[in-house]
Order: sequence, then structure tokens, then C-alpha cells
Amino acid sequence: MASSEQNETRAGDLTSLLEHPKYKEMLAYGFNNQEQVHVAMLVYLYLSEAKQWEELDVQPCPALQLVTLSGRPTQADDLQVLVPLGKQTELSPQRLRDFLTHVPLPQDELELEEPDLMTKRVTLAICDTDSTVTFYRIRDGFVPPDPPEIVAEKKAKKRQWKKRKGQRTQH
Amino acid sequence: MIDLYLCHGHVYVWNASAACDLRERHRIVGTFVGALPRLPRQNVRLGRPLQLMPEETTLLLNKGMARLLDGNIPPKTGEDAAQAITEHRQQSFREQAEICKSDRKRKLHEMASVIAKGRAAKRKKLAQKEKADDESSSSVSTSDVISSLLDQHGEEEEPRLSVEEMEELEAKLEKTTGYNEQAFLVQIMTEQDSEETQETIPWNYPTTDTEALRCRVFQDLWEKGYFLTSGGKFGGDFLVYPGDPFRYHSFYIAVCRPRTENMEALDIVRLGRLGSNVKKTVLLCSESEDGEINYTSLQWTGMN
Repeated sequence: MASSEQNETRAGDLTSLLEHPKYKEMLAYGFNNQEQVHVAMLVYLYLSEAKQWEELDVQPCPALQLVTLSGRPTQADDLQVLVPLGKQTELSPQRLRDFLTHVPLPQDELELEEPDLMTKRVTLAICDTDSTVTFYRIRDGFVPPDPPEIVAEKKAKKRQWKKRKGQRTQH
Repeated sequence: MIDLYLCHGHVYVWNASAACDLRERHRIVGTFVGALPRLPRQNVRLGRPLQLMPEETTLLLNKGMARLLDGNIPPKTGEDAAQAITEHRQQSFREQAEICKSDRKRKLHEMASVIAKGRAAKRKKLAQKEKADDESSSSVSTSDVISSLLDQHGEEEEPRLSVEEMEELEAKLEKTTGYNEQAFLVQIMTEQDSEETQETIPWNYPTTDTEALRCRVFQDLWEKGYFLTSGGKFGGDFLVYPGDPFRYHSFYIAVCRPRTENMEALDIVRLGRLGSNVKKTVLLCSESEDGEINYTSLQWTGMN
């Protein structure tokens, strides 16, 4: 009995997810890619609710028939463009290059910098079936790894930021 | 022109200066696979021959920097050849004995002052012993005073070997014979010592599309000025270094994939994770429709 009840509540949750205005907006793009829309929604919820990204928004990419997201991890960070993907999505090197050339940027960003440069950086949000998400950045050409000093600096900064964030939520 | 030897499907460079040249001038690293003659029971440091990857060989031949020779030709046999080798070896021993002698002579001159000091000390010791013997028989005498004066005088002046002493030592050295031949270096021939020229042989690589892509990527990265080594130990095709691998860590793990070959998104995770764990960028390399090599950098963002 308990299990059927659980199933019902889960089904209820799912309905509410499907009724989310953003989900409806994504569906309204009319891409024949239900699965990717679902993944995009999961990533959207994860970033907005769990990670509290700033300026998170949804964009359609008609050329690739994909729903893409954009936003900043914190106010101070650069705007990132995300392509939500299921873990089993088939990707070829050509497909990755298509992401780099076709994935759109929010309009105001395009005006700020050369569109050519901006579209060359995309973050893949790869979503597992249990909705864990991992983020991988792809970029055209050679991006050397950070030198050791910068890595250490970044780590220290992140720790500090986490500390501050923890204090803020406690108050 | 650098000679490469094809032997049982592998390409080797035997010549030491050619191996240096490859690395210093042509940015071709290769792998040393030979045992060091004096340290045969370890494999941390290896010596010649230098084995080249097929991509390295292809590049060198394409650029006309090297030629490929057959490394399977058996060495010459017969009495004449054996005689020639024995003579060559004996000649080498004679030369080494001569060098050894002159080296010891040089050392003798260097150590002259030490020898002289030693001898002086010995003499003094003897003198003191005699003095002690004298003392036991008689009380303080004038000879005692004189000897102590002499001692003081001796300390002031640096003891030096006389010309006669030096000549005597040198003569002794000159007489030394019977150096142990086993202690000498033996030259191991790594090339055929013959006048007849060897014909170059064809190089049949690449044969498959995958190999062809690897060769193209290798050449393109090399032309961009990078050093490359095999990427097997990091799960890629090549490791890409900004400079000599002795001095730098590699920046990239090059992974060659045909443009249209599908992989799962999980493969991206695997590659990206691998790269971030070893602090390198994964470089997806594929050939575009117009034959250019496209590079896509893949990095983990650090976010979860």
C-alpha cells in the first residue's frame, strides 16, 4: 500500500514539474525532442533552486533543435551558455563543433562583444538518470590548463566564498 | 639525413648524434628502449636504440628529414669479419691503455704535494721515534735543541717532491703493464661498417582511416611547434607538450576521433574527468570537411 502511495506522490510531483511555466515555455518552442526538454527542465530547476544561479534563462536553438540555458553561477562570474544533455546522448566531434557555432547567446551579451568570439564557448550540462548534473566546458582551439598558482588561488577563493555563503544562510 | 632502421615492424634510431638531433632540432622525442651497457639490470633509465612511433616516422619521411633502411640485414660473418673485429678491439685496448697511463701521470702531478706531505710526515715520525729512543738513554742534549729547531723550520716550508723523486715515480708508472682488458670499454657496433650503400625501403603507414587521422593530427600539432609523445598512459592518442618533455608537463591530451563518429555524453564525462584529474586539457581532434584539423578543448568546470 505504502509503495502505491509513494508512486502517486511521485506522479504528482512529476505533474507539477510538467506544469511548470518554464517547462511549458520550452515545450512551446516546438522541438521534436521531448527527452532533451525534460533534461533541460531538470537542469534548470537544479541551477535555479539548488545552486541559485543569477540571470538564469532559457533560449531555443532552432538550428540544433535544442533547448539551451544561460546564466551566471554568481553575480561576479561570466555568463555561461549551457546545453543540457542526457547521459546517453549521441555526440560526435562535429556535433560538438555545431554547439560552438550555433548555440545562441542572450541578445544583450551579443551586443557587448563580438558574436564570433562569444559563441566559441559552451558548457555541456550532462544529466544522469538520477538527475545528478556534471558540467564540462568545451571551447574551440587550445585552452591551456591553469598554472598551479592559479589553481591554488581559485581553491582558496572558493573556500572563502563557501564560508561566507554559509554564514549568510545562518543569519 | 637521419637513418631510421625498420626491424620487425618497429623503427629504431641507433646513431647517438641523430637521436640528439631529432630531439633538439626536429622536436621528435621517441622512446629509448635499449639497456644501458653498464647498468643492464634496471629499466628506469634506458639508452639506444631510440624507438619511434609510426606517426613520428611518417612525419620524418614526409618532411624528407630521414630515410628508412632495412634493419633486418644480418651482420657479416666469416673469418675476415671476425679478424677485423678482433683487431679493432685490440687497437681500442691499446689506445685506452695509453690514455689510462697519461691520466695517471696527470694525477701524479696533481697529487705531488700530497705525496710530499705524506713523506715528510713519515720522516718526522721516524725522527721523533729516534728522539724518543735517544731520550730514554740520555738527558736533554744539544742535539735535541737542534732537531726541534729543524722541526720549526720544516713546518714553515711546504714540503715538495724533488725532481729526482718525481722522475722515479714516473718511471715506475711507465713500467706498469698488464692492464686488465676486462676493465676496458668495449665498443658495440650499432651500424654496418661497410662502404656499400643501403637501399631505402618503403614505409607502409598509415593503412587505416584511424591511423591516417592520427598521422594528420600528429603532423598538424608538430607544425604548430608542440612536442608530442604517445598518450597511452593518459588514455589518449598523444600527449602535447609546450616544450621539451624533460622540462615541461604536458598541457593537452589529444584524442583523435573521426568527425562523424558518435560517442555518448558519458564519454565526454570520462575524458573530461581524466583530464582534470591530471591537470591537463583534453583536446578532441578531428578533421573538418575541408581537410583542416579542428581542435575542441574539453575541461571540467569544477561545478557540480
